[in-house]
Amino acid sequence: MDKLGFRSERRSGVSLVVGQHQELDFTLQVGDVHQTVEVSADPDVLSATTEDTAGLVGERQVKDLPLNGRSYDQLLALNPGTVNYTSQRAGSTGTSNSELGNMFSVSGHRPQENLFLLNGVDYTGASEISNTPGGVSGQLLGVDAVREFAVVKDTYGAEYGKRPGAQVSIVTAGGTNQFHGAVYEFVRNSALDARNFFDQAEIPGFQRNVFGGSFGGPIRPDKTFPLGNYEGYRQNLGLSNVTLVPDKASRAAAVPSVQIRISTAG
Amino acid sequence: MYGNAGRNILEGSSLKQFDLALAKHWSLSERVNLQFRSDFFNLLNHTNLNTPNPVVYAAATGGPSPTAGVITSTSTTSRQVQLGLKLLW
Repeated sequence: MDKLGFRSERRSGVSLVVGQHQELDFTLQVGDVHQTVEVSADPDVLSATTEDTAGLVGERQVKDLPLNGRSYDQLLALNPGTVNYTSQRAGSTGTSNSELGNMFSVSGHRPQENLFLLNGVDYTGASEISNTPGGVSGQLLGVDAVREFAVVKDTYGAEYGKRPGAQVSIVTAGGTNQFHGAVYEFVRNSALDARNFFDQAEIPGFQRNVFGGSFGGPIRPDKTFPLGNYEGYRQNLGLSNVTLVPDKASRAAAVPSVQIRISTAG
Repeated sequence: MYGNAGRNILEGSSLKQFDLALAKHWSLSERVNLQFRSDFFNLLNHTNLNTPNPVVYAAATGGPSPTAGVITSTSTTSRQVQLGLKLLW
């Protein structure tokens, strides 16, 4: 902070993340231009500008925590008051209570009331009433290109809006001044999984391969550094379905014309 | 719909889930790193039952739903293991 006729002042160690606000007040002393007061500290970050409640899922959590199918939206549940609603959804694709990807209820709001922003742009699902991003795989892929995301809820600031639930701001990663890349392969299959409670004697067949790579580097050093990421997803998925059938007593009590049918149906 | 049942009178079963990630990093050279990771979801294989079917009569005509009040699924998966290999440079 410099101003002619005042001593310059410098403050460092203030780390800001996506969706966060901080006010820093500087008091400049009148004095010699060459005098420098340097304060190097890590001040406590206290949001004094808006009354929102924000939770950040940082780079380390995104990269290190276990993600089933590498769907990074599962980390939303790290924030207090957030429930993974996915197993509760009903209806088919395109109905208001169903999404292709995962669904979350934040602060008791309906899971359709969240707004997802990718680098500030509305990030929607399969249709106008599917508001949660995610593909037919049921996953939100591309975790290698995600740096962090913030969840702002309850009384958020005026820069957010459109929906009353959580405002999820996802920020993508960028390249660096050096060329860096990665290739990866993630495997899941039924041989490694335990039997589900409602499966019969056999586990339904399942193979999943998630593979891809990312590459980033400078086009103009110190100026432009893009990052690209590809993620492929191949899956064979068998499902167990629970259905109710007549028991032995009701089969025996059935009229003869029906009995022929149910005995052949097993 | 007729009746005098209040809001939030039913409570589902509890949910317990324990995930674990184990990762090993090797430096193949100064620039190249190899990462192996194994992710365990629901490591203790705890059965988290979903809520029972709350719908008794789906239509004005026809009898009650045979799955009314019956639990037919789990809210989380059983124990699942994911293995990953990642080469970084």
